[in-house]
Amino acid sequence: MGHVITIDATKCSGCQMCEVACSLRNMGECNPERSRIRVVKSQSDGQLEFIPVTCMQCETAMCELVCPVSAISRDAQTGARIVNEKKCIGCSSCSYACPFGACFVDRRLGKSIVCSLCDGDPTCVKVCPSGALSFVRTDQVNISLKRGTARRTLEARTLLQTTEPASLPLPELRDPC
Amino acid sequence: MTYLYGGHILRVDLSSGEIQKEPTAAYAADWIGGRGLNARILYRELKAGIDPLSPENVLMLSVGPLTGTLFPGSGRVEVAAKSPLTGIQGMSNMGGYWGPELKYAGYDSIVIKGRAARPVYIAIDNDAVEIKDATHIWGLDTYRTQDALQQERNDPEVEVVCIGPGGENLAAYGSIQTRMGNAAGRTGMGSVMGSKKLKAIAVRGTKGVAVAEPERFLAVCLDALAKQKPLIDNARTVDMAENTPPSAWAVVLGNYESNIWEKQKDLKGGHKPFWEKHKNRQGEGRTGCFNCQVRCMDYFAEDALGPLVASCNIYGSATWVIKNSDLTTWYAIAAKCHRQGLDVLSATRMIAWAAELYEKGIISKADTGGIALEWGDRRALEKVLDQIARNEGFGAVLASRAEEAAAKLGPNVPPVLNVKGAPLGETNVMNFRARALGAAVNPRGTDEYRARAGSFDNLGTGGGTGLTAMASPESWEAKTAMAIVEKAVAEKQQREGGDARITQFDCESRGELAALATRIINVTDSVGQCKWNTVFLNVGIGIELQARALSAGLGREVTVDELIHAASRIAAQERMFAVREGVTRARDVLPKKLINYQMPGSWPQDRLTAEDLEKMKDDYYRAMGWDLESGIPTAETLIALGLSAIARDLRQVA
Repeated sequence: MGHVITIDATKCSGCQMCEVACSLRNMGECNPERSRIRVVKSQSDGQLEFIPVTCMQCETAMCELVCPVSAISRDAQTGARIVNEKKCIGCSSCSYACPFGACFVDRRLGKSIVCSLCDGDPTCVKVCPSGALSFVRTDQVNISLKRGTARRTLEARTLLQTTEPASLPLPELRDPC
Repeated sequence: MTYLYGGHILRVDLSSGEIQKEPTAAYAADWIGGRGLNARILYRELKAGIDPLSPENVLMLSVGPLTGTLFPGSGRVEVAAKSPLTGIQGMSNMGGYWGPELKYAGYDSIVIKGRAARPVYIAIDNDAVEIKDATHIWGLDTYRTQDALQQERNDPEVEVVCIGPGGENLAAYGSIQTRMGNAAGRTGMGSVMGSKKLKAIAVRGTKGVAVAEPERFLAVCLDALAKQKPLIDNARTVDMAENTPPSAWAVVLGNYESNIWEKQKDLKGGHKPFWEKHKNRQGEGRTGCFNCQVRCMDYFAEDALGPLVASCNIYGSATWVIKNSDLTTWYAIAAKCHRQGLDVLSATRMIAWAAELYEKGIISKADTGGIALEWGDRRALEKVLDQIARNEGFGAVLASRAEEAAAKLGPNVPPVLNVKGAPLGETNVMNFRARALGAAVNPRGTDEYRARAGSFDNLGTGGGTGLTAMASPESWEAKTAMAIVEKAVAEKQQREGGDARITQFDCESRGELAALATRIINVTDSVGQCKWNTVFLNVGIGIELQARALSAGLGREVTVDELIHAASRIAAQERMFAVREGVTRARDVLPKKLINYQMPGSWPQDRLTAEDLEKMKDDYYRAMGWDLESGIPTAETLIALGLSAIARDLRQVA
């Protein structure tokens, strides 16, 4: 079963290390502009917001479907969409079709670029210092949300146990992978 | 292809409107980048004796070869100009995101000369550079300025450095700000920017940084990140900023009144609970600079006062230094300084000075314009800060250089605690011998920071020394420092007997350690890395890793020796700037009050005699290759560093 990159944007502190690492690993230079993952930022009177955006590894991938030369296919090993550079004509169809803005035509290469999951070991996840990025099994994508709900339920139950609130042990709820 | 470098130095003359670009390559080999570049160009292109706030001053913002890369803590910018506070080379290092953006636009440095007729800002979009009108944003605070320019440039990715009212109105310690908490605060660089009528520099760059050997460079960076990871808590603000009262050895109360403060308990367990309560939703209350995993800054969102990013030195200065035990007041002051563009450390030190004068009755409401300057009074503090930023009323006194401010209040008023005219910061410079020396010889004055032995401050072989605190004992820095100490111990034992030791209270070897620190700090500031990512603060990255990263990035082997040699050259260059402005050994001093002074609550051995300080200075000058009598680099040293032209200047000075 494949893995996907999941994003918890509230944890992101905006360091852009994912972008620098991605571009270095995959493009051979440090350049956020050529990274497959981007941190979209906004700033307003001191309030900063950072939202990392990358390929969602769609099951029905618009990029793959719209490609006029069938250059995009799914890697059997990692499940990531890969671009056949020999076929790709750099037409940006995939860029327009992707609902997340995750693929783009790199003008220096003249080819479309999309997250390849770094052959199954994403560099962005490896370097992310805030825990905003994780690499999880595809069937575990929303498990942390479920566990969050469970944790809140248990905490509420603890609060209701007025006799020995502190002694009720919370089960260890580890994040997957 | 110029690997690791942006490739060009951008020169902007605001008087004539002329914009030029010059290849960086001519400087890169000898001066690395960042601080080295600044030292070289300022010495060459700035005339001695000029008024720092005149159009003749030259303001530089430079990045290093590692800025903008994956090397940990690569978001730095080094700012320099002749300082309005000290009259020597001012320098301040800032983080944030602006430096990498400048590099991505293709520049290693901006050299700004002249003065615009009206407020302007510089807009950079890769190769396109324009000087644009800034009349409409002149007067805006630093947060609003950045928002306005991002809107005007129609791009949220634009990064901005700017000044606030403090710099515009030429308060002596106006800061240059970016994002929210990132400031080139010390030595008044924002005021130099204000004197040039330059409100901001907005940059957008998309070119990236080329790397000679990408795979090797990636491997070095991943190795550096992994080595650093277990150590990052050593530099995390809430975890270290005086959270366990009363162990506040690092900060001092008021004007070095005491090491103990009964009101510390009112801080209610330190800043951590306050942070827990007011954490910003983004980043879960934590933020940092570009490409940094340390993320040393705390991110707040207090309802009434708006967001704030705080780093550790704000904690001590806006509490202990001004005797304020209310954290909401602390927050208000920190936010105001950021917005107004004032160096928090200088502003709070000046206020502490005035509050003590007021308390002792040396000055009264007649001097303060009716403000009752009680310690820790929020309304008074906010009023005074606003006045400082506007450079008016009593604020105009506090916005002056140390000696001028004292003179304005009367003939016998002692000046603020300062080094070379710039107010001391919040850290206690007297609790380790190495720090006291660092403050006396710091190339920029102000504090001990740029000649501070950092994690070697209390290195020794006796009880209570920091030997075990060295988190990276295998690093070149630690081994070199330890060798210095061991040699000094052996000499001491020969003199005094077999069991003689060296502790943090001894003077032996402190000069050599400070010289080592001067060099490693110089390297870090020049390659464009953050000192808070390095072994300087027990956070892992050492000069060997820096050399490995440079080697992989540049595609030629860079050695530790080569970097240390360049650092010595930069130090000599900076010193010669100071010498040209009249600094000699006699100016490398500490405030009179701190000599032979036993601060209540401090260790009994903290008392430092003038003779001991002079002894340590001897050792420092010797280790730097400077003349013992004058404190000026010797002709031999300058020639050995490849600075024979400056050696000729030296003869002229003599």
